[in-house]
Amino acid sequence: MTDEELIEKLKAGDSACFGILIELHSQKVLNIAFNIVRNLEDAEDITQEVFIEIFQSIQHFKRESKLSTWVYKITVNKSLDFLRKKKRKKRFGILQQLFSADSAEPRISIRNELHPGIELENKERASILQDAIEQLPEKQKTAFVLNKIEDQSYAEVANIMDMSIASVESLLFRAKQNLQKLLGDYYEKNEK
Amino acid sequence: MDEKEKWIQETLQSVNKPSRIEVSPLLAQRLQNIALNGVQQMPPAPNPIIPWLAAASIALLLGINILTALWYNDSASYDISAAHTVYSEYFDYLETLN
Repeated sequence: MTDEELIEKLKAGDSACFGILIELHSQKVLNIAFNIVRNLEDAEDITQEVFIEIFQSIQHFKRESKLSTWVYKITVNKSLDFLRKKKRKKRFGILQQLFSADSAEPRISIRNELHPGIELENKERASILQDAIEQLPEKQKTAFVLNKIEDQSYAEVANIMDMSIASVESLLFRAKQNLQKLLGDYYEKNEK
Repeated sequence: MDEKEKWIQETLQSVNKPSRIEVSPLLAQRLQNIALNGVQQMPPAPNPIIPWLAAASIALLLGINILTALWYNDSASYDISAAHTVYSEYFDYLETLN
């Protein structure tokens, strides 16, 4: 079935075709969400939210991009929204701790998960790199995740992020520079 | 390439194209449920007219308050001689007694 036929049937409310859409894109959606939020449970919740959004707004899909690009764009937006909300909650939590009576209690720190698909011999290095990626600005991080980890082309990343290819190239260049600096600092402190 | 450069390059390549995370059967079921009974699952979309109605009501309330305040100020600046007439007419029986 072509994209066009699938879109037509989805717009007509064909639930079997929605099943096909899930089959085609759920794994990629889950992986993109995981690589941005670094937590499998959260990524699964985001995946569900993404398909609910698709189900609700397929009527408004204008076919200006490929169906897959539209799906991944929703995924990136939902994942970034999730991270922003999490940051706000964290800030509020710190404030609450400052003013609460039992502030002496130790804080539970939830460390981000490492990608389960990374080979064992790379796990330590990947963990270091992952921590460095977390420190990148939002757009650089998104571009890096989509291009280097999710293997999307520059053009696809540009479509997903609503940018020109030149802007994506520049983002990736800066991301790589920042990562090299962060990793260099880490090397000086820990590996030397 | 020195040791540090080599280490950075190797680290940068450590997450290149990892194998995919599989969709768990539980998540697959959650996603299929959207298709099967998605409409019932959806929270009702907020009616876009409600915030506008609320804003219009507040504006109307403010407008009425401002108009009332202006009107009250105008009517409060009454003529002192008229007040004196009322006073003397009301208490004129006192003058009669005197």
